[in-house]
Amino acid sequence: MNSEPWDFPGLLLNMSNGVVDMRFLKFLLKRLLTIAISMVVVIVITYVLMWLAPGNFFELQRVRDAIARVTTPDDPAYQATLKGFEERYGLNNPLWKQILMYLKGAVVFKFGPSFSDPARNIEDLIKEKFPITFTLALSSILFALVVGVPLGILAALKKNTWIDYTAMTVSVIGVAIPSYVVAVFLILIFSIYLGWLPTSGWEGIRTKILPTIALALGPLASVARFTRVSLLDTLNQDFIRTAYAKGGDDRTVIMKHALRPSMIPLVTIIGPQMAYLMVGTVWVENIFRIPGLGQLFANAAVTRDYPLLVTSTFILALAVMIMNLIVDVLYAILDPRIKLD
Amino acid sequence: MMELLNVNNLKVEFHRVEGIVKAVDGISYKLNKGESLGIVGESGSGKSVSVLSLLRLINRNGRIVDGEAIFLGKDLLKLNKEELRDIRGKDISIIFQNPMTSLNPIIRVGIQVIEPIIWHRLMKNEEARERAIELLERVGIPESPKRFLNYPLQFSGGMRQRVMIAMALACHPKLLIADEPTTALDVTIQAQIMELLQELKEEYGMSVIFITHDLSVATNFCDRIITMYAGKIVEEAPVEEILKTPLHPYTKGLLNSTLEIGSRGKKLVPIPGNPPNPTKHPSGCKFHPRCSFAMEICQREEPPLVNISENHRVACHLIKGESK
Amino acid sequence: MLRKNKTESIGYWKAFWLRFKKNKMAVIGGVFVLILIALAILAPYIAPYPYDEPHYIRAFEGPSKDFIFGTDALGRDLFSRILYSLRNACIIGFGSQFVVLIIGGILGAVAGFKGGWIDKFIMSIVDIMFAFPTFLFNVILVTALGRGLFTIFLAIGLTGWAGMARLVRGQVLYLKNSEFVEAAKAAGASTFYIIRKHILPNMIGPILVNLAFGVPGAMMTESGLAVIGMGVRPPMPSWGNLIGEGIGMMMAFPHLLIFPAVTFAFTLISFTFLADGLRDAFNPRSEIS
Repeated sequence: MNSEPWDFPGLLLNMSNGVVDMRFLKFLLKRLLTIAISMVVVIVITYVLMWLAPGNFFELQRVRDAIARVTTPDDPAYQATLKGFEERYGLNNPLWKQILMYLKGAVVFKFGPSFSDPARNIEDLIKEKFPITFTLALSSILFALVVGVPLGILAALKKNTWIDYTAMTVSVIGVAIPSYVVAVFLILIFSIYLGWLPTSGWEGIRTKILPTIALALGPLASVARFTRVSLLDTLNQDFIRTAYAKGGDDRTVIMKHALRPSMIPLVTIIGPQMAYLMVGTVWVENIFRIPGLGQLFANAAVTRDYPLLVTSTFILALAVMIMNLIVDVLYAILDPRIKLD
Repeated sequence: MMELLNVNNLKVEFHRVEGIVKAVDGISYKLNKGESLGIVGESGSGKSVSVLSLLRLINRNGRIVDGEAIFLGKDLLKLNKEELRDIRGKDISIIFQNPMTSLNPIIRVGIQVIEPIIWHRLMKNEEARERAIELLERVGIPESPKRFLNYPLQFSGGMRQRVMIAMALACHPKLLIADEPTTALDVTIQAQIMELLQELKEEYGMSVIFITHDLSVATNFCDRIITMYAGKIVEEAPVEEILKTPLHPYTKGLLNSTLEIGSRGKKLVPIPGNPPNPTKHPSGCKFHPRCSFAMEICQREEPPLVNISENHRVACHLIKGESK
Repeated sequence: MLRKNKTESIGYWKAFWLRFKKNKMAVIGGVFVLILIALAILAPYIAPYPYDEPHYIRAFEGPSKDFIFGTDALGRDLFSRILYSLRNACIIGFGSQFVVLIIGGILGAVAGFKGGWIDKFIMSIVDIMFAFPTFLFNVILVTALGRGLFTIFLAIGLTGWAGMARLVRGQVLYLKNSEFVEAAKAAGASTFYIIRKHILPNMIGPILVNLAFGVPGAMMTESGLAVIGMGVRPPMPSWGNLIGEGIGMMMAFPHLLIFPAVTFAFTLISFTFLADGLRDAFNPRSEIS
């Protein structure tokens, strides 16, 4: 009879108390409410900023120019076309009304057409591109964990040896260099110099390797450092001394008593790392020409495609907040000391 | 009486940013079979370190720089990892001070009690489980088959300490070390735990080293008392003598500053001053700055530990001067 | 019988300096940072060419006697451009942290000191800012405010103050209730005096560490903006710009990518090692062997 690797007592305890259902639900509801409010705040602020920005009708300007080529500004047809655009996008309404209309649409996930491509609805674009970005982000975080955690454990166990110093120095570098610079180096080495992997695209496995690694290096470094600190902290705890005092040998104490408690806090940094990743996709997709949400966002910003900008921000931010929520729930499950509050 | 443990000139140092701390500065004592020895002192006196270092359970900064500790014919301080591991938890067990942090929070309590048995390969799984359930019952945890599966946080402080005791007793140790086992507990729970320890001591026929800062608790439980100050032994005597004729000013001070039931009206006299800075011990007798009897020689020379009678030792210039 | 060892109790700053000195990487990082800052300040004087001066005849050249790092598509000296990128990055890095310090410091201090609903209000804003990926907000702000040097570091500062606010608030709360403040109050000291003499000196450490990490972070953000096309306007050079341009030419003229990438990485690493070292040095938990 031993403690199994999946023996995490938190939620089990809470469940057995019969208390979890009510408290858990209340906690969940409160968080969802916070997310909803934050999203509304974000959307409103973004809208207001767009409104205030100079060159507000930049796109319209382009439309005007396009129209001007085939007709003149005095031509009533010109005015009519312009008006048609304004109506299509609801720009003739006062700001508050625009915001409300957007919010109304957002709740049911309909965001209207984008400036740059009136033929397509934004929600379709998102449906198309979100899976790509999500796959990229997910593979990156998995890579970061699968490589980072063992690295951190190794560094902790071989504390103050050259292995430790090397690992930690490399991890500082990993944290210091943003993913797009890493991407650049990876491309330089593996695509240009060695010619092993392609420099862009998103078809097949080979194109996916470099972007994933580029995105994952930062989180990998953070995970490794955190794991190391967490394990070292755990090893300083009283209950480890007790384990040794009972006659435990290094291997048993570390594997059975130290590892699992140190893994639990890891969950708390996964949230911020996912956030970093979602943002990182903006750069990485740009560099590797991956047609995902990040690229959508970047293009929207540069071309001032406001509806698209607001919406892609909204989606990315929402994804991050939901990830954080999942992470918090996971943490509660794993650690019996956490009372959901 | 057979000798179980013989500690000789133990010296332990810690290396800190501020300097080197001589936590234990040359102490020697013996422990016989079935005896219970109390080691009493303030925080920083070195009492815990002096015993925990025997099993190499001190902080990584700590270094045993001298001495030997003969236990059942072998020097504990010279054992290799395997031998040490064999003794820990089986021949010598420890109960630690803080029950809230000394148990692993994510491992079931019963498993933690079984571990010493399994690790020393004394029984098979099923047998060990039965034994653990018995033990939990014996230390006063009701419904022990059910509680076996609980996690530490489902227990109160006193109950957790009982679990620790069960854990320590699992392999029938010859020597039990109790490092301030009741300091972190309520007074009423304290009494219960002490009673339990008393019963178990007799039942198991164990020798006990009981470390505490509370002289009254020690005198109620132990056969013999050692008082320590700033890393040195200042007095050692059987409990009756310590209570009747304490010789060292520090021991006297400890007695005067503790309350006993039935001592209403007695004035509480604290020992003046503070424990010494660990990196900057006073010269001569380390206690002299706080001693109301300090003489000129106390500043210059450290008093040696001398035998006043067959089983009573003291380190004080006063006493030395008075004996023939 | 007493050995000769350090017997005086070590002051806060001395302990910090001792710990910092022991960390070789941190000291090296610190030295490099000082050199980089000096280069940044002196850029207009030591750059061999103005950053926007084209030499069309000598475009796309590799490293040579005239052009240490080679030239770009318009024949501009890459070395000078990199030097000015360093300068801009430093301006943005330090400028944004200044904004962060002001906004975060004041809000955090007010929240900590006053407590009550002001505290709750400010902290809920902080929570929202934390939950929201700041880079996205940066992009939006820059879109709104414009792409100048000043507006960019303002934008970065405006999105980055949350961590500082939380930190300051935490410090103020902790110190507000600590014993020596009680003692000072009992002795009749004014609030302002208490802040100045007791609270501020203790806060400097963590605040400094926060800022030290913020500088490379801001540089990263600005470059990130530039990579997607939202950085400082060309011909003003920024590492992000240079890298972005370099990516376009990487097959044919790798030097346009290598030099900016390496120098940028080097700069970021130096700053980060320094910040890391500062953080470890302020933390009394680090042991001595």
